[in-house]
Amino acid sequence: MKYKAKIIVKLKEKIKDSKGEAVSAVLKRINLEDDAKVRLGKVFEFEISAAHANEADVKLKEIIDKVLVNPVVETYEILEFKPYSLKEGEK
Amino acid sequence: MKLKAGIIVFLGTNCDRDTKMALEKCGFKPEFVFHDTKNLEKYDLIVLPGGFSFGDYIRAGRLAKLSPAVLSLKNFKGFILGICNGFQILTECGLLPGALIENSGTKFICQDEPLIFNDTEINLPIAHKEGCFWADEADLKLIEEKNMAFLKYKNNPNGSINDIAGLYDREKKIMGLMPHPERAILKECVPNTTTDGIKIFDFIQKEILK
Amino acid sequence: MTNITNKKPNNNNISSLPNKQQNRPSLKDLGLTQFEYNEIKKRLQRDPNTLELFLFSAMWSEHCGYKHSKKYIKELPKKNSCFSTENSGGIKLGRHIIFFKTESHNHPSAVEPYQGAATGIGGILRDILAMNARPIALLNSLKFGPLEEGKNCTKEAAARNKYLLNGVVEGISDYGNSTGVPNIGGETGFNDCFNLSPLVNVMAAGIAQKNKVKTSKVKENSYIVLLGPRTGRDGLFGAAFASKELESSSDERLSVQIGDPYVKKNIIEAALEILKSKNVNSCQDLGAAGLLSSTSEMAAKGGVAIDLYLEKVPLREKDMHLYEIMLSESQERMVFGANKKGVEEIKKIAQKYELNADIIGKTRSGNTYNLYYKGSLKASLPVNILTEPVFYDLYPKTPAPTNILENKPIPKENFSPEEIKHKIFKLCAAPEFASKKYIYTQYDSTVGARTYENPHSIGVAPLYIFEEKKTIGFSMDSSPEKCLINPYIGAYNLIFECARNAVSSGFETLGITNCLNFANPENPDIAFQFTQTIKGVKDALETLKIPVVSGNVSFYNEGIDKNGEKIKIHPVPTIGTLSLLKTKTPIYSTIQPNNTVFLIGKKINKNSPAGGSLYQKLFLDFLGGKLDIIDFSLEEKLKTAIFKLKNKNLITGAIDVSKGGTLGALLILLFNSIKSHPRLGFKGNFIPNIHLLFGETTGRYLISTQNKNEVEKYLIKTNTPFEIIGQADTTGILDLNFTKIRLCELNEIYQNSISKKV
Repeated sequence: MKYKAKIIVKLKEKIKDSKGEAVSAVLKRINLEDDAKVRLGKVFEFEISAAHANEADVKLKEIIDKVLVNPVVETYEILEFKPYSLKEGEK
Repeated sequence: MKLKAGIIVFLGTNCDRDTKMALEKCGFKPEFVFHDTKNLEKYDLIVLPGGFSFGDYIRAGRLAKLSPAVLSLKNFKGFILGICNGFQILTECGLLPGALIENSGTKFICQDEPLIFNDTEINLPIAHKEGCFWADEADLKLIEEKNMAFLKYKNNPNGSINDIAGLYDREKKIMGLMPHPERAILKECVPNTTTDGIKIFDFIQKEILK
Repeated sequence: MTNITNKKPNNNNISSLPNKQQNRPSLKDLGLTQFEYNEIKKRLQRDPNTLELFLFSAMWSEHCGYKHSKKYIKELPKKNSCFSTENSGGIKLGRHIIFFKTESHNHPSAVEPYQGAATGIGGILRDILAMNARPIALLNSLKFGPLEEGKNCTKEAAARNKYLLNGVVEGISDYGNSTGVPNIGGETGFNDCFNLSPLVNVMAAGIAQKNKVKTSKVKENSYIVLLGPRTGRDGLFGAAFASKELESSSDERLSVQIGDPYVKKNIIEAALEILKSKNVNSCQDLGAAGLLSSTSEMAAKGGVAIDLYLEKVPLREKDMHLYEIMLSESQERMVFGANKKGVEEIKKIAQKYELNADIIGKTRSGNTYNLYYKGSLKASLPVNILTEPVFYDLYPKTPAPTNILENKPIPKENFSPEEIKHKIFKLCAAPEFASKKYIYTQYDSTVGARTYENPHSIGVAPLYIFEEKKTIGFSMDSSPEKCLINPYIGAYNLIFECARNAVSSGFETLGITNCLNFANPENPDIAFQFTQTIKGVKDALETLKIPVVSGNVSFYNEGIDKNGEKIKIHPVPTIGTLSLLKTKTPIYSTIQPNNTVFLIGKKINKNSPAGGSLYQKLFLDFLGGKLDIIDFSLEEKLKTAIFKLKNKNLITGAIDVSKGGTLGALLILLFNSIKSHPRLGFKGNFIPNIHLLFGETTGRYLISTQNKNEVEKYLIKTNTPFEIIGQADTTGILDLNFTKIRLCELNEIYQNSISKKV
């Protein structure tokens, strides 16, 4: 079984997001939004193969912890995680 | 007898040859160690050099921490030095506390930087985009209590918390710093000032021989 | 000879092209003229098939074929250069050769600044690498429209110029820094004429052992091995794209290649390891027109025939046409010619660096360029016909149009001391003059551990060559305004300005590389600019007895603005130089408190020609007037004086007088030194006249010294013209006699003007 995952990784709220602040400043400068509080993140899309949902969950967790996220400064959100098949309509 | 140093070379590392030259000039016996090597026991010093490991495509140092050489650092008995990307790798794999995030100015900065090293002022080049040191309160308290931040910026260029430019672990066996001492070695290149990079390597040599 | 199969497209995922005449793209779309098409037929003695026509369209483009420029650039002196017909030429330094070359990436950067500039760096590095030289330095010369709204620059244009500058600089920073090659110098200029056509000229240098150099001359019976990522549709028709005038549309983004600095770094290490092998006989990088130009070039240089099997090229996208495979400009690829053993070695090294390496063809004796796909021959062309396009003569305008700007009356230059004080502030804030710190701190200038400290406060950026225990210097420079007024004198003077940059740092120029940026050469005015520029460069180089080792030509740098008006760039020959340290240590453009400042060289008076000076543009909104003429024997005398004085430890610093004239040069000396001496000041006796203060006449330097009497004695003894312009102090005040300015205030503006504007 194949699973498709979409994860967003961003800096923790309490950490200064310099890029986000730079974007907020631009939005203010061009009079689009005074205090946009922009925060940037990275999106990872990937596929996992696993025999069942439990195994997929464990694998996903491991990929996130080992590779994608540094827990000292980052948090993540799972935007999407579901089984899928190449053939249409076989979800 | 010269101290043996192993310089880990990741794909994308670009300060490996500079570091080798610097170690040689400072009296070490360095050699390159490809990142797939596990056995590091024959070295007195392991250096994680600067540059970009595996493109730093997730975060600086994030992918290198999965290399066999870095994984085997956990049980390594000798001294470990991480320069720039090496420092980032050491924090990513948890051998040093805190983390390095993007510079407060969001841009890459390359310049000579005045630093405070053991109560004296030295100058070393910096060259990084993710060099802003961050640690939570507990780690920061520990760092300051145990005097682990051996190197601090004089005019903080990147927003690092407590001006931290370089850090020890608690046992003072692991050392990471953002500036590049290996680029301030050749007196031919600095006709008007001193070669402060040598001071860092001499210091490490003394620490190892202690 | 026409054993081409005329089969219908097959039904594999690679479809071969339709061969029927009516399905072909038009000649115009291919960038070929009817004359060229007829010439192709005549030389082939048959009709080319569609695939072949695509091949010609690329190889006979301006970008690959230099069809409008070759006749002229071959006149440039080559003596004492080596490998000047290869990917990159160089100059001998002991047992090594220093290779250096410039390249333009103007058109791609105008469309997509970040990737355009990044892949420009990628391309120029591959040219150096292909010689088996390790890249050791990068430089760049950038030209943009103004950063602020003005007479010929709308608010939108200024915003776009900022976007272009930031994108280009970030592209160079992200890409260059990753590759581990220090980016040690360059220049950035601003002018309305670059609003639609920004210029991104990059330069790379590398070092190789003399006897280890590899070239593109492939041997007979070699395997052709392609190293690098899979081939996609990136940058298709880049070659034709660069040979076209830019229209104000962004659809051309499709054509921009995407760089990968991480893969590039692996390619650098892999290629240098591969080229160590004696079983690998040749190498070529894949740049414009990708696989086609690289392999046909190898065959032409090697004098061999080549058979390529296109099904062996690993592809990233489905359903690619054969012509797309041949012309793709997917980045970070190189080809090697190797024997059987060499192929094995390449594969092993590729594996270590996680790269693909595939045999895609073979060479044999003969002169044909054959493309096979799954066993059937799809194109078969004589190598020499494919690689030698029609070369054109240019038709420069006659009579020479130079005297129009030269004879333009100069506006009145009388300003009160108070007005001049304001103008000094204006000069320091002008992006043309202000510190480029915002730009160069984003480049890693110290990786490699060869860079001298502060490479930006010295005339040429010094680099230590530990292999030879010698110090060399690099610079990149241009002067668009002066070259527009008179392209011959402008170019001639530019070469001397470069030489003066070197001399002011204690270096002597060994050779140059040039990047020639012009508008459409088929226009007689532009043809005049181009041919005169070449003549100016040639005459100056012959006077100095130094060669051109490599170069690049970029035409069609023009566009049509919103009002339908054609905007052409000024002629911009960009000169990159290599120089060698002649004094004990390099001379920085610095000064210390208590130093006396001497101006040595020509005396400027109210009638001295100073056409194209920056002050005229900034303060008078004027471009014109005669250019100054070089006095060669004076230049030589000044060089000797500076080297002698430095070697007697009599001078602190030196700077050549160029942008901003005498006062401009003095200000830079002061600004470069204020960090170490925060209370620095200066007192001098200046006449409040902008021509005398800021006029850019040639043959002048400022030198700073603690040994006023000794220097004076030497200059008198050697009959070197000089004048003492004042003395540095610790008052913190710039006292020009007619006005006083707080130096730190002025410095603040100079240092931060650009970062504030972007």
